[in-house]
Amino acid sequence: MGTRSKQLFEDLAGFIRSGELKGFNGMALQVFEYQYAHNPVYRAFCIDKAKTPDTVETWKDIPVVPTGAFKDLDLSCGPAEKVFLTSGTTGGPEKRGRHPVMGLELYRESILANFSSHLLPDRARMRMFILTGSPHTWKHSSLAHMMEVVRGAFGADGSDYYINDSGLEEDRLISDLKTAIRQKRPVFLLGITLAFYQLMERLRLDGYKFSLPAGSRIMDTGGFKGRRIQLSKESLYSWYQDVLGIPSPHIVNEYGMTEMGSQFYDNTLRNFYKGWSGARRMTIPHWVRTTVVNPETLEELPEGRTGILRHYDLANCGSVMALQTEDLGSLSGGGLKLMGRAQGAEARGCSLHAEDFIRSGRKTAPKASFKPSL
Amino acid sequence: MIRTQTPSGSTLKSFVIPRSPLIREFHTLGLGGVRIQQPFIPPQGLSRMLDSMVDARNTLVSEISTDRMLDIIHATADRWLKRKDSNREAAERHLPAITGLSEEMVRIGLDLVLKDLTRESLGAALDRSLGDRKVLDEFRPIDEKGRRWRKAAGPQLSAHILSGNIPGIGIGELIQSLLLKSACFCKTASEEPLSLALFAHSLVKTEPRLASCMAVVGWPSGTSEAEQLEEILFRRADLVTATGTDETVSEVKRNWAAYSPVRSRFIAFGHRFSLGFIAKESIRTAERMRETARAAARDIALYDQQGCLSPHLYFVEGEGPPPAEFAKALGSALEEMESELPRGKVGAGASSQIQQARSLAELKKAAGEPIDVFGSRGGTHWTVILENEPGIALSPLYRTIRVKPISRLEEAIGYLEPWKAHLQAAGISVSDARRESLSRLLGRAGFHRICPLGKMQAPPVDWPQDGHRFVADRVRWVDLEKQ
Repeated sequence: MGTRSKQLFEDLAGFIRSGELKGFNGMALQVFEYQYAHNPVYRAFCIDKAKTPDTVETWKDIPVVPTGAFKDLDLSCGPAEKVFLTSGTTGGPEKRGRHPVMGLELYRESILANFSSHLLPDRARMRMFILTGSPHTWKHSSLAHMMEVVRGAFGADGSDYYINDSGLEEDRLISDLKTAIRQKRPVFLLGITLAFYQLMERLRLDGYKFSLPAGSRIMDTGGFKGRRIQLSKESLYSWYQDVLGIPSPHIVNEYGMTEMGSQFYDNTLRNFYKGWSGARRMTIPHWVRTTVVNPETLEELPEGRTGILRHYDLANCGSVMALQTEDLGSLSGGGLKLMGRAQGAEARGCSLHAEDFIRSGRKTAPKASFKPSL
Repeated sequence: MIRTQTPSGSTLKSFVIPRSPLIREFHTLGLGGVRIQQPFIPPQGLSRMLDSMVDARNTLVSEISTDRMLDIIHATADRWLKRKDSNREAAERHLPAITGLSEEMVRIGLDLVLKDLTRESLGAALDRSLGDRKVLDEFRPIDEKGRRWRKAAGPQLSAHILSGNIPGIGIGELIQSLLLKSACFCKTASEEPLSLALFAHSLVKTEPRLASCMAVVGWPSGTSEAEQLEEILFRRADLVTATGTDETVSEVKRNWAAYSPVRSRFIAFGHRFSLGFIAKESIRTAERMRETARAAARDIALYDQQGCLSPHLYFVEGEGPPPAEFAKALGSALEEMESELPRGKVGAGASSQIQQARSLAELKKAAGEPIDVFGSRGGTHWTVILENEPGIALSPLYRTIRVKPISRLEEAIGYLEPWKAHLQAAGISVSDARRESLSRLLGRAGFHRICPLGKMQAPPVDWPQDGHRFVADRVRWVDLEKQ
């Protein structure tokens, strides 16, 4: 990386750390200029669209790249320090998305800043029960990478992963939870929704009902993507409350993707500790902008209307900042309401639908290493 | 038409069941704004219903001959085709809202399902499958000396677990059960529970005795009540067929295996898709190119690509300009199709995936890859992606199609291996001289039906869906040796 590039990555990290709300547009234009200069595929695409650093004046004009492109094209601005892959799927001959990351330090900065303000607004460290594989088990998972970053920064003694090569270690998890209850030590459970679901099912079968020590919390992510589980987020969360004894504000949903450096979190836990009011929404970090566009026409939609989500993420400096996702959602009161990934749920005929094979997104583990007993 | 009055307005009765004292409660659900009534079926009610259906069937089986059954089906389908049945009217009126398909599509779709339900073509289909339709009524001689005789017995009770939203879905299953004189229980598709119930009701109008051995009804899947009902059904039925995604079908199969008697049979109709193969001779002249493109556009447009007979991509033989011109011609044909057979409603999720496919193609084009994309303006009504990348990519559907140039059609066979378990039909446009040799390869590759382009959505009534022979996989044979 050249000196100027290095400087840009450092400036971005500084911008993220600063909590400075102004200046996004200026930073975004710098990132665009950098990506235009260093990413030949993206540059050609921008030229086709007649959007170049000379003509683009606001971040909204920066050409968006479909997240699906990470499967087929190298969208890196330089040599990657690490390559993340989206999860494999149902055994079909599909491609996996790759996100080559340069500037791991910037990546780390965006993870830490957001995580601490939304999940640990009240304390510095907690014992983490991580319901994902470790970075050694899930070698290419951006989620496992993120877990390792937050475990290192915020995990207290005894923090550990509970998914190994043969799946969720239910017994060890339950026994460690019991110990924590006996010791009155609050716990932080974080991981994929499918693993939580498996834990809930197991506790139900065994007839357990826990009341985890006050201050305990949950962060779940990924939903039931690709599984035939019909359970709304509300029902799932009241199940968590009921079985684990964790109050609703302490249950936080995370939304992220392999193709994107930054994450979104529910505002509930932060609001609770700050004494702020407001409905459950995902916070858009100050280094990210999100717009919603009409799925048919791609015109921008006003607040409250549901459409395709586009994210402009400064933490993606090393690849492409402006992303058009497959996800649907709406903006509301400055926050984001996620409707979930476009599953092609409308494809109801008997035709094999691409989505049945290709479930992009990173959150569920590769099937071989995680088999919830559903 | 079946219509009951409720305080909140009119509700469509979307079921046909034999009269039962244990089924007294009903509930209403909204589907695309259409209010649909279904009964609550208590487990005991289902048990009793199945018993009575089997009893009724055992009586009817000797009273209704195969020819009579052909007449019943013929008369019913004929009324529907000639629009002389209020149930057809109701189907046409409500299916667009329920399925999201356009009115034109529903109309054409229903006609396509019904057109072959005549005594002649069904009778001929039985003869083809069983050797002789009369084996369903009596022992028939199978050797010249009259020593050996044979009879085919249909299942006492067939159960069909249906899914999907193609208008008329399940009619084929119901017809097969009727022809085999089997008591027939159809669990309707949650996405489209109406048209089969309406058709069953029309059948009962033609022959009231059918009412006692036929049930067409739905319940929400995945609940413990549903599991209980399925258990009862599977314990009793000697044939179960299931349609749906691979996941649903294997779930049904697991339950079936747990409860069914060992001698019962299971036929799975899982996820399938279709492809097209266009030879260079079919796009040689401008005229031929237009014709071929129109035929292809029709196959794509029908049912908005939702069926297992819908093509996901076309291999087009040749290099350079001809395939590229074909891709453009296909775009024009799809544009024309939009006024003749408009696309129906598309959910945001599907639109989003089409947008992904379009802009990925643009990105690759910018990156210098040999790819191009043509699409409707102001919406995702149709999209043609011309790409050279080898292999097969599934379409996000709703009239999104890939065109892949290939130097020889036979080379495409190599790409099919990973998709073998999911192939359904191959629409082909090749010269007479090549048809057989190409078809042999396609059959070996896993396709079950090879047909001309433009006919993919209009299969004969006895086409081997998922490789199963019409009725033949469902009967039990009985031999009589006279000496």
